Amino acid sequence: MYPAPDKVYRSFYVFSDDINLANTRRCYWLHLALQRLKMRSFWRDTTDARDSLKVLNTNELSKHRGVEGFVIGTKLTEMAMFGWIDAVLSPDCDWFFPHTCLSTYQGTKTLISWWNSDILSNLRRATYEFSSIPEELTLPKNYHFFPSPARLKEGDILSLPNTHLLRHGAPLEYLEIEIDPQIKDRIAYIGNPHFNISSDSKAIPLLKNGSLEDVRAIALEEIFQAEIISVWEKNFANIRQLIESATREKLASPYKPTLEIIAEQSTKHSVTLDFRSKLSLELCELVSSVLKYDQPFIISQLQQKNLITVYGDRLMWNACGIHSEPNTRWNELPKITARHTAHLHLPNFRNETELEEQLFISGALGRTSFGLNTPDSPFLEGQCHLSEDTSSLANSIQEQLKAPEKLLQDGVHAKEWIRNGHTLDHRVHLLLEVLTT
Amino acid sequence: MSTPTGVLIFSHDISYAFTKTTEALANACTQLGIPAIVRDSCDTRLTEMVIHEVTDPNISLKIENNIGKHWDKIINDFNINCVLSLDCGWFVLPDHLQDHPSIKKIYSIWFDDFWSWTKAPTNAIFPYRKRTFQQNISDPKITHCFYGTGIANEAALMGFHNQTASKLAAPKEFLSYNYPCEITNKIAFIGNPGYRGEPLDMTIKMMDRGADLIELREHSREHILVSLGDSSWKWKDLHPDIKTMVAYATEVRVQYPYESALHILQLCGQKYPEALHALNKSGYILDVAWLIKLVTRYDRPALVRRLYKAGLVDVISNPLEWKPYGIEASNSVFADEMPKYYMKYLAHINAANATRDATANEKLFEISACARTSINLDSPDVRACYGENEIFLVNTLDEAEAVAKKLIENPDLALTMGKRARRRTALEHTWEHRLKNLFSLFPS
Repeated sequence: MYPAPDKVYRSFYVFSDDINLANTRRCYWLHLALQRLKMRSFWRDTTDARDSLKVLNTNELSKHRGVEGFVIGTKLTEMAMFGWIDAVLSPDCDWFFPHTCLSTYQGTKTLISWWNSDILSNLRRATYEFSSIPEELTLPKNYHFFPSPARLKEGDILSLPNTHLLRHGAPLEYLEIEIDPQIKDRIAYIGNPHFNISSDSKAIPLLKNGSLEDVRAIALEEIFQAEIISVWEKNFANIRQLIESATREKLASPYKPTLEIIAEQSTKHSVTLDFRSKLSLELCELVSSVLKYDQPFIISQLQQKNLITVYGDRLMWNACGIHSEPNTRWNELPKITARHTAHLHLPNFRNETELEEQLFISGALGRTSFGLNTPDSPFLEGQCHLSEDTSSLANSIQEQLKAPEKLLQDGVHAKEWIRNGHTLDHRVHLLLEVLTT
Repeated sequence: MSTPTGVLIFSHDISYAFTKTTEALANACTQLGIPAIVRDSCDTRLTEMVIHEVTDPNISLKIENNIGKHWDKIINDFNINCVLSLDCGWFVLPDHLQDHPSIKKIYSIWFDDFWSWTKAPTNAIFPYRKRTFQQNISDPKITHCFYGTGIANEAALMGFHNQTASKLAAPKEFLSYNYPCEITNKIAFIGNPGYRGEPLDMTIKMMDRGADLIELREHSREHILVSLGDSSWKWKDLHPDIKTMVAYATEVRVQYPYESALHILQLCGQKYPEALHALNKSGYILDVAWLIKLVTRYDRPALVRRLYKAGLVDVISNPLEWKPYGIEASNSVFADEMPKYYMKYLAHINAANATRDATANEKLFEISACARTSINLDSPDVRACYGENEIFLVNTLDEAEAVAKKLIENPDLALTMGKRARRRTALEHTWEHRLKNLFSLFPS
């Protein structure tokens, strides 16, 4: 009935789940980047639909479950009739809420997940219970872009289709922002703890007074206290041994994908796992958590030396014994980022991504970062101050803060590095290249 | 003057026209350097439609709370202090946005007419908790923006006192398109016939024998009066003077087609006060106003049909709706191909939808932004937007036909006028102009 589109991709539906501010923010930037590339882009959220469907799927309203297709389908059909949804793009699988609608919809050629958070956390936001990675993420029209080689490896082990490496980037518009620094004697960390610390965790005092080995030992202890292990043992006799050797391996090679470790160890311990299953994903999360105290430990150590100001969820940080300035609203992000001469960059233990988005954001705003040397560091082409371990990291920060002008000069280089190849516009361009070749 | 720190714009994606203009508003905000987030109210409205009859009130409350929390998060995280939508697209949770301490201003840019908006089943709203609908829409935080004097007048009579005049507009990017003019031996009409009821056979015959607008309005009026005889109108027997008042009001509408129907009824009420009171009290006043608007229902189709039968116009979009008029329209075009289609032709016909008491519709500005002139019915609202060296204003079908022929014979004239219309649009009629103006009302 309607003329065929004259370009392969001309319209994107960008979805965010607004429960996650970082994803919402990223979608806004992606939306603007797509528009700059002359693509029609619609940016919407899935939050209300998810929450409503969850309520509808319960008790008295279970009979209305079919509303899911009606509600979402009706409007998608209307929009698609006008050729507006060639492709669906979202961080993670924020697009995946009415779990059949977009996948089965013929008008949508491609469903793109650009991953940031881990898959398990995402599926926990689904509107139904799942036992393994849903088929709707594994169709030929699904594309999975991962921000690190480790995540890409994980995607391949999970046999996800059309997997590609696509690193994080910075919003182009931040390159135009120039703000003078106000605080030159402390670097900044913008973000939250990567998990909710339990108030009775034995690790809390050790974050201040212990060593990295001490907090990792506590993490290990907590792993083996997890009740879920005894449930798993009913089906997998050697699962405890698998976890023991996997955590050992993770401690020895923190940047090796946990799923790869589990794949190797499962063979060794004769545990037959379906890697796409919920159990495997939960096992990954558990094993990865051996590193969960690394981030608060490093930050606590730096704060004690008065080398860092933290901006994030105050309650979460206070629970770790760390003082934090309030959370940063999105329009304050440039101002807060530029307030300091440099930033701390630490990967999230769940994400298998060594170069997180904040690193690129800081660079775009003309600020350099400090971090740990990882296998993915060569990608940075010398743009960051990298240390081999936590103690040399503190020393490096202390030393470099004495020369703030030099740090700012490094920030200027970081901005140029971003400008020349690491904005979200560059990333979207790469993404389109993949889709059209 | 202060500008918003962030704007939350509500769409209603069940309607493509709504979505298209909402995106234009969001882009205009971005152009003005104001972050804008578009959120769709469709999912929640349709959910409310489903749960409406559920007996447990806690379920509705739970969904409302979830939506409220979501909005609060967006408002907080993105430093939103302004809400904007077409019609009352933002009005899903009564009270919530009006009472939100961070929200300084809410703009309703009216696109549809109020009667149609309230009648649409997809505009479901969660239950009123604190205030009535009337109290909600009258909140001083809200500014209702109307794009025509008739529709503004109608709204004022309904209690929308917190209102301002704000014309519709064109997306700024249309000004930069330069697609070739490929068809110079015809002009175009892109759109539907307006009012969706099928025409009578007699109407088509009248059109065939060359009836002009006044005669067709008279004919439509007669049909309205005849229909008062059947039983479908519940309100007609509320008072013995009602039928006479409607006859009088429709007669006025024939003579003054751009006067708002509600205003006409108000004036007629001076002669038939009890009849007006009965309609007003029973809540049927808008139904009657809608009927009076239908006096001009054939204006648009008659204009298009006359030029179509003379071989002067290509009709594009909604083939099924045009068929009863004996018009073979070509298929609808993708929304993002509209500029290409506007520029493909030398000139366009434009006429308002009879059910809205406003004539300077969005297409008037979009055609002009694409550097094409248009032939319009001569209403005060259209006249206020463009000059006579930019667009054509006609009062009869004969005039319209003559203008169309003149343009086809002299394409340079058409294109020159189109260029002038584009220049005027660039100077006065983009969505950036409108928002700049509206944000001048934003509290400091």
